[in-house]
Amino acid sequence: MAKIRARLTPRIVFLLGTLGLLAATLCVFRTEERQVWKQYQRTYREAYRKQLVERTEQAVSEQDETGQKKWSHLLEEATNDDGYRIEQVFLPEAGVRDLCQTCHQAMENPLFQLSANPLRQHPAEILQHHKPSRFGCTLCHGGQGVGLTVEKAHGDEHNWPVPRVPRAYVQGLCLGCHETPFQLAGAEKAEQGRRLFMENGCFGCHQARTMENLPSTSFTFEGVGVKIESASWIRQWIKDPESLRPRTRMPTFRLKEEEIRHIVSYLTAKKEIEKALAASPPAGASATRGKELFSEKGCIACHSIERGDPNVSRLVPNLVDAGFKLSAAWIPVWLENPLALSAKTPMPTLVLTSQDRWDLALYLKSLKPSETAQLLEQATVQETDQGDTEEGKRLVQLLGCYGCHPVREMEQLPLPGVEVAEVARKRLEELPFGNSQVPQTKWDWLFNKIKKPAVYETKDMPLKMPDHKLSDGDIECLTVFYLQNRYYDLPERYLSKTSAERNIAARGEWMLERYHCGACHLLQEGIQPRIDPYLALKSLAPPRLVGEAERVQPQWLFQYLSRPVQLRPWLKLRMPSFNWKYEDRQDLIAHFSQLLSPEAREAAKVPYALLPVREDYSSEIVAMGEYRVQTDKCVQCHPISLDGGLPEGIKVEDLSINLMLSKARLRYDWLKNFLRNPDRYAGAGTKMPFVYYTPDGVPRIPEPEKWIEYSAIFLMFMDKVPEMPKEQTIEEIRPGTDVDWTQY
Amino acid sequence: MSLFKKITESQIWRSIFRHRFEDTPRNRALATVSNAFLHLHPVTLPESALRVRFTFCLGGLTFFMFLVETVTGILLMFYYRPVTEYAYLDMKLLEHTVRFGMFLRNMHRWAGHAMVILVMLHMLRVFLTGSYKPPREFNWVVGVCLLVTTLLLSFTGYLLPWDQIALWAITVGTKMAGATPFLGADGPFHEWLHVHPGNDMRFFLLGDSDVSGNALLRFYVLHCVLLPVVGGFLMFVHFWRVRKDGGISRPL
Amino acid sequence: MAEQKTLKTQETGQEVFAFPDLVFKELLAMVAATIVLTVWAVTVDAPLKGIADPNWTENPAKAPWYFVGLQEVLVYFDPWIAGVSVPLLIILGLAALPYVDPNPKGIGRYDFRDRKLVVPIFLFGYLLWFGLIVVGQFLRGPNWQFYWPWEDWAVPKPAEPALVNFPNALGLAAISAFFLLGLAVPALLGRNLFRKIGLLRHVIAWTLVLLMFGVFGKIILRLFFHVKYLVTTPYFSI
Repeated sequence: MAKIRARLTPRIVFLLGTLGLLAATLCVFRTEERQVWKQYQRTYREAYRKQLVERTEQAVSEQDETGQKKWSHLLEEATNDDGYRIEQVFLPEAGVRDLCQTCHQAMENPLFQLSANPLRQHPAEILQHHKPSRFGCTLCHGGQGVGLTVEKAHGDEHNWPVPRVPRAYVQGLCLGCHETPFQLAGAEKAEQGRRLFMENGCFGCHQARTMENLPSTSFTFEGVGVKIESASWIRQWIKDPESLRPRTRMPTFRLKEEEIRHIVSYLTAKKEIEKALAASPPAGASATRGKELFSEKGCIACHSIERGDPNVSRLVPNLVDAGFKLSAAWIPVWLENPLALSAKTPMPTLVLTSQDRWDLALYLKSLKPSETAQLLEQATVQETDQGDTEEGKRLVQLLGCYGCHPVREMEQLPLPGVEVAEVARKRLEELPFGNSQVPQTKWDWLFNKIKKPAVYETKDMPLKMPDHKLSDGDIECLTVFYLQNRYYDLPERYLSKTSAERNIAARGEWMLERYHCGACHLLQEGIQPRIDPYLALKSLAPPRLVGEAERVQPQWLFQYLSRPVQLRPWLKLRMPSFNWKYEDRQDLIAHFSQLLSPEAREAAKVPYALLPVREDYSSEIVAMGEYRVQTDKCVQCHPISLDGGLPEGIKVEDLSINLMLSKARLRYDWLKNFLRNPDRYAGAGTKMPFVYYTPDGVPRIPEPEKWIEYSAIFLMFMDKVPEMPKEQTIEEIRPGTDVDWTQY
Repeated sequence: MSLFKKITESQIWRSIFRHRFEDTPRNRALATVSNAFLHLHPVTLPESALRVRFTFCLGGLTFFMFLVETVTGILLMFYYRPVTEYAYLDMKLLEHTVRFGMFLRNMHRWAGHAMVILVMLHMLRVFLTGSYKPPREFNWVVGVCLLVTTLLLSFTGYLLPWDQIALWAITVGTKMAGATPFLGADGPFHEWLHVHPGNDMRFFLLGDSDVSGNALLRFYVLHCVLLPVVGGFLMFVHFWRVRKDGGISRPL
Repeated sequence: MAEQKTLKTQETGQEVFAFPDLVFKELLAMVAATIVLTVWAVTVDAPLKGIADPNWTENPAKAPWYFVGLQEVLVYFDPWIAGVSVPLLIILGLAALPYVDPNPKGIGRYDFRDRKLVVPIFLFGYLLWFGLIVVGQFLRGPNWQFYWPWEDWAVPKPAEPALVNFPNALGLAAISAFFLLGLAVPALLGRNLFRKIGLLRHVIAWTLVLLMFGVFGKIILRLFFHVKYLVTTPYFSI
């Protein structure tokens, strides 16, 4: 009996259909099996096994028992390990679900240090601080994490907003958890970016984290019409600042001629300080004397008079064109009290007489290089060509000049540029690429924007940011700084707020740079201050500041920084007065303290130094110290007073600092160290002799330590001039001993 | 005895399958009638009803899509959590870490689209062949309800991946509910019944005034439990009525 | 046994057993459908955009494709019409269809000759529905502007010319005329049909049909005559 069967045509169709279904199923399985991560795991396993076999054999040939055991044990483990595994790091509160280690199997395996990616070891030091099991991978590198093909895992698909950041910019992501890259090992590019950001004054337009209350980048516009005599100079400066000062911080704006004219007209109309200006120069004011004063008083340390001088800080104005630029009446008023004319200027108040000031003014007015004269002739503003002041004011507001140059009436205006955190937050779709051909990634957008700000301009979207002429390396660092400069939305324990010490160190470092202390003082061994070649003698130089926190009492330094007093009256180059607030001085002192080694910092505490107390020491000890100081004739080079004229045989250049100042100024421990080894504590080449020890540490006198202590104690309590010891004969020392030595 | 005979005449086999394979009318009838799933069919039917070019199997295929959706849907339910923290992530995990995950998700999605298209085509076919006319009027109405159920199933499922497509599609869709006259906070005359965004039609649908975690959970339950049950119930009535109204329509 | 395989009945045609013929055909249909689905699922991935972000509006934000027709109608009508009334009326209209169509002809075969009224009307609605879907899904870009499929969505479109509203009197008059004529004319022209189904069914059926044509008419008015509203009140506008 035949079985129940369908008709023929349907049965043929069914056969074909089944075959088709089989083919489709095979397709599905094939897609599943050919996944790339399985291939990577296979390759890794083979390579690892091979390496282990080699190591084991090597250990056997070297007869290294422990090595042999270790390698063969690992080899056994690796041989038994055969399955394909998906490795994941799951951190729910951080939103991290990283499958990266599925392909990057060798991430923590030191045997793969030099292999090709993805089977390459991650740099080990940074991984020690950021274990993948605690942080995952995507927090630091960007990318999707939840993906097992190369493009998807790296977030190169458009349903994932944060693609993996290439190595050149990866340091930018440190700032998602770390508040500042200052002194952050591994974030050097980001730190360089931060410094560039501050140096170039970017914070004037773009608000950034940790840069909220910095003083403005450049001088105020109040009274600029009085300060700057030549409207053509202003015009040339706005048009092409590099022509007047190469490597200037002033960017080049893209302005039409008439717009510049309006701005010039606005600026020259700002004559608020006219009333404060000085009258005409007194008789006898001499430009030649001014030239001497320029180097004598230390102006040359900060201000260069050569155009394009590479050794001068970019933060300080170049005075090569001062003759054209500045008005003679303004200079003496400025030198007398800069803060009255520009409240936050870093320019200090120098110790000058009125005559000095006029001498310098005349000297500066004599600086008129011919090439500048030519440039200014071309840029001369005709009388009929005056622009509109109101229009100029509008342009100044529009272009954001007030971001770097404070203007009183524009104080309340918001900053002209976009906040850094805002840009860090933006998604790729929100970044306007305009009509440019820039590759569509966030870092390329940033890089090209900083390099050529007008690149994204379109008809509907005019862009105001001016061109800063920065090198590609600098722009890369700035891009790194910009890329992720805001905290990620993570729980507290992932974020790393900067310690107070680090913030102080950052502020202190910036202060040293802004006030250009390094121009006069040696701050670091090997980096000569700029003033050095202009000093006749080394002994006339400003004091070394290496290890300053170890040397001076912080209380004294605090007072000194607010009002410098004369410590060596015979010098011409004097410490100027800076307008530092309480916190600034505190920060500077704390910063100096941080520059010491940890042991030195322990020994030399801030903000107060504990001083020895008179009652703790017997009068014998003090007297012994006084005896030592007298015998060693310290007073010869360290004068207490100059009433009686200079000691015999001593020239002014050999004089050293007044010893009476030590008890208020120096630290007790440092004094002792200094007496032990002057070269180490006052710099090699110091004129202070090795009294108690030789340079190799061999004692020169019996019981040097005791004597060092006595001398130091005496100096800490010294209140009167120790007399020079009288020359005495042996009769006077020991009377009555008349021995006839001929008997023996 | 051949192997085939050995198996098909064993006690186990005969306890499950109550018919033989010999080509007798009895066996043919029993094959239909004694099968839990096949006894929906009539034992015999006119040849004209078999023509593919009449029905194009559209109704049957729609039901098949529903079965595919159920099977793939249950498998997907093993890997999906209907909370905003995990929903999107689970989609990504399905794609990468679950074996055949992407294939499964694709099947579910395309079968869903196919079901909507097929149900509309089925409606067109039934209309063009006049198969809604008496005695089949009520079945047509049940069919319209099934159409609505299918659309709602697709709509609720659309939200579950919790991606931008999902969120904004459902936002747009439910905004229209907010425009209901009297009952919607954005509709005409809504002040008459003191209706505001916290208690209007849209809130009723979403469980919140915006599409959020509440909507996700609500839609998940609708999509996986309520609407399939309603759909199953309606299909039961629909298939029953097809039989009782005289099978596939043919000229009288 | 040829006779046993088929049973002649007194009804039309020959009868065959469901098993295996019908069941096998169903199986074939399922196999074919599975193959199509599998190939489709292997070749094309289901779309997935970025994670849901209430603060980042998609532009354009489109409803699922089967509702995109209604979203398109939003251009021509207010939301309470496009999103609530139109769907409800569609459902009601479909459900009412068997009860207002008294024509006994054409069951069980594809017959257009004997159903000259109902087939065009239904097909018109059906094609309008899918036409709106095609427009909404493929021809609408950012801000719901019209973009041909080859046009770049990044290029913004110029704003539409200003729209006019009908003065209320004129609008009301137009709508009333439309409905009165629409109800009266078929009654007068098809008196037999009218008598067969009675006033109530006639009114219901033709109101629904007229509403459907009204939607289409409003679309024309909007596209070619830039008319926004026919009737404007503070509570609702049509």
